[in-house]
Amino acid sequence: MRTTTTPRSANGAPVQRPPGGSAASGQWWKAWVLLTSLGATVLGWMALSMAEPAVESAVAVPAPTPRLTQDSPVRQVSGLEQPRPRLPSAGTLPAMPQKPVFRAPVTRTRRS
Amino acid sequence: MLYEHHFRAMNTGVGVWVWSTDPERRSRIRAGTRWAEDFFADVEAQLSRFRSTSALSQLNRAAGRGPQVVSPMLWTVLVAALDAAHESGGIYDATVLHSLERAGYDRSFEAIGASVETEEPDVPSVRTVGSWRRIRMDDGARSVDLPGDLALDLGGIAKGWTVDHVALALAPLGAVLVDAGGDLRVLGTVDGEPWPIGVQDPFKPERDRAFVRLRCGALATSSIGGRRWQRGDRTLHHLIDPRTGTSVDSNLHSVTVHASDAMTADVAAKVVLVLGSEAGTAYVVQRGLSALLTSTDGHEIVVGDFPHQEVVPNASFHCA
Repeated sequence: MRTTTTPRSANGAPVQRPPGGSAASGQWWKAWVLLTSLGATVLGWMALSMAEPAVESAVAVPAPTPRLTQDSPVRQVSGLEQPRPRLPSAGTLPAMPQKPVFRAPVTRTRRS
Repeated sequence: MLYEHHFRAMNTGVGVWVWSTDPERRSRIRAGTRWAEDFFADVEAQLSRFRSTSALSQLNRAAGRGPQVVSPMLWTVLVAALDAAHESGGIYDATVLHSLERAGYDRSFEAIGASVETEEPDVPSVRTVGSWRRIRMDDGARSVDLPGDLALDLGGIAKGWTVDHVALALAPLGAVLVDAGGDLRVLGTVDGEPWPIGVQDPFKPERDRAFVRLRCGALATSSIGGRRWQRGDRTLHHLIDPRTGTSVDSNLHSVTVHASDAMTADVAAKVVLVLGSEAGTAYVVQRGLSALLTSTDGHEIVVGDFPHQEVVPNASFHCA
């Protein structure tokens, strides 16, 4: 017994075939499904592109230099004269030089 | 990190501070501060009048025997002393050693002890003003011909010169403060912060009477209140007026000068103390310096832009 599949619309009604259709033209609905899927993919991709920066832009933005402390004295080092400070791995941060807080004179000029 | 090194030299306490944020300089800074101590010792060994083997003592013993070739260090400081004598009209005078010794200051004060009383009779003073002009210097031979009646004391100016020399030598390592008995020099700031310096109260030496935030330059203080002793009924001290040949007797008790370098500040403080408040003020103003004077009756006189709170570099010297 031969079974045939009749294309149906979304509401279950048989889809009207165009008159005089050949075997190739009988596959029009497959092309429609493919194009619809492709269109949905493109639209979705465009929507995501608008929400995120382009890959090229992300690469072009320089990564911020991590700051070890808020007032790291490293900022006084001239970049032309000194190598860029290497970033220590977590847990091995060296003790940073602490700027002294002078609460009293360091020394005094006095009679000699 | 703030590095400190303290030691004794030139019969006084010396402190060297270096501020650097570079931890890799740690060993170099420590080596530098140790070198500073060695350098102070070397200068003292060559220029102290209290060391019989010093180059200065050898030159003094050779006075009247014709030209003597001297060490580069002695030559350099002696040239500076003669320049200071010329510039101050002879009020600064390195040839006052015999006057000092006649007055009783013939040993270091560490050996004498403070406020010594002596029963020795007073001896006649000898004026030396202008004597420096009789010293013959031969640049080519680096020789000095010291007249037989003169002897040199380079104490204060040698101390200032050493402070400047050490500060300049250590400056590449970071911000530097060098203090030798109150003659001090600053090069650079502590991460933008000036160095806080006290100015000793001349009448209550245990406390400070002013506070200076020093970004650059030097401070030096001269006072008649420190190294003093009794001779008979007279109170004498270590600052000699070359015009009289005896201890300074002006209306000033203490003078603190701010200058570009410690040697200039040291000389200026002595000169102003000798001159007194009126002529001393003119001396300070004419040279673009600033000073804090205290009269013998306790009045304070501020000359120029002496920085009670913060040093603002004036146009008279460069603050790099």
